Amino acid sequence: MMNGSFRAETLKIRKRAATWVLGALTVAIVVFWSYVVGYIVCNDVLGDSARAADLELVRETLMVKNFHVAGLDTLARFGGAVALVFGAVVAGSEFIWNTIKTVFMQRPVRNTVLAGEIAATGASIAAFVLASFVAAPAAAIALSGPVGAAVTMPSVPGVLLGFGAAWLVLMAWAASGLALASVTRSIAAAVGLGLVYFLAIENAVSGLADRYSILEALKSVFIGPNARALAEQFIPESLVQNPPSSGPAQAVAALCGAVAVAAVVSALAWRRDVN
Amino acid sequence: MARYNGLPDKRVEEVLDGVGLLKRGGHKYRTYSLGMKQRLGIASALLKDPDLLVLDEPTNGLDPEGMAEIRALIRQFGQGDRTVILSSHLLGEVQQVSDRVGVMAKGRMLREGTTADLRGGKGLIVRASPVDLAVQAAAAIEGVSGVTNDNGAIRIAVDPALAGKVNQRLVAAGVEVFEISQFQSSLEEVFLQLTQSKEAR
Repeated sequence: MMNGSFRAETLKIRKRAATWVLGALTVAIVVFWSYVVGYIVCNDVLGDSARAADLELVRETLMVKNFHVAGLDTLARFGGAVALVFGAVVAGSEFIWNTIKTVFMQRPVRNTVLAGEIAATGASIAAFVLASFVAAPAAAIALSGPVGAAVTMPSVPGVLLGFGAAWLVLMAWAASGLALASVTRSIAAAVGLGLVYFLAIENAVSGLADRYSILEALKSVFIGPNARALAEQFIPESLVQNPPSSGPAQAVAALCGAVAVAAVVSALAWRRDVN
Repeated sequence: MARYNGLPDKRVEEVLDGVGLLKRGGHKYRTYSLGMKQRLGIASALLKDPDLLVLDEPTNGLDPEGMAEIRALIRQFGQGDRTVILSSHLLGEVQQVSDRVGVMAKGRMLREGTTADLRGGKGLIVRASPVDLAVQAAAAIEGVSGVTNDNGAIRIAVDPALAGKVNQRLVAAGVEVFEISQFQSSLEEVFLQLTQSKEAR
């Protein structure tokens, strides 16, 4: 049954235009922020001897050997909003079109359908990250000539770890979107609430936590700061300007916790009657 | 829906074929007419080959052609061992497709039985003059179990096959007969009688 739900949800996700738009947007964000903006900055500081360190930093970022670091960093900064919208679309569509009733009528139990939905969301997020990790080295290779960077591929374990970290970061956001859509039974409300939380609350509290230590505990469970902390673990030591705000174990635990909490909240929200 | 239940694609083709949508199976839902959408819903319900199929207002909003198609499907799916429960306010439709009918009001079942049972016995409606003489003469005919005057239309509870005999006797009694037709209460009449009765209130 779980396998059936997963296959059904995957088919639905694949057929939705929004999936392809959001997937393309994820790739575009990585290419634009990591490479197009990076190239512009590189050109700006080229020949400015006073900014030689900056040039080296940008050049390193644009190198093929660091594509997984650049991709992960960009996804941790900007990919969350896209993943949140995607999660909201996956769960919210069922309530908007009342198709959840049709599904339950044929007797797959609620938790099985939800598990299938979460698994299919995870698989789609993996596809988003994979597409980004294919586009990133392609962009890096294209820029290697203009910026004078060597074309050296990173180690396979490094890329796999980067892939896993990027997946976990986006999955935490997507699961949050899914939970919000399950609670509000709407896409618009889930996206609105999610983005307000993502852009306003987390950033504001994180900023205040630097001044008021009482907010540190709250910051330590937020998705955004932990996502960025996890991404920072991959930055080569020579390029680290500020040490990460939390260690990799704490960041992974916080992000896994966010996925688990979202799954439990969704399961509780799905217990309600459907009209 | 098939995937949720681990059913093979072949089963999807079977049920689509059953409702006449096989050729349109690959088309987008939004290109379907209302009737096709209803048939798709029925196909979805048939995926697991249920013993009991519950259809709620299946012809709601359909044009006459679509209604006829759905009615034909309901009759088709009700054959064999499967039971189809049809919930509808269109009593003409219920009368056409159902073997047994239940009348409900305020959550209570007021009457349940075969369509024929509910509609009651058949009879004849006679328009004749003079009415009083016709009523008197009709009541004396062998096989007649009751005669009522319904605003000039004489309702005679008798086997409609005896229409010729009834006509003969009335004419012989000096009654001028204008029209003889068969009658049986419609489900709508039965429904209104039941739901407006004291029992229903």
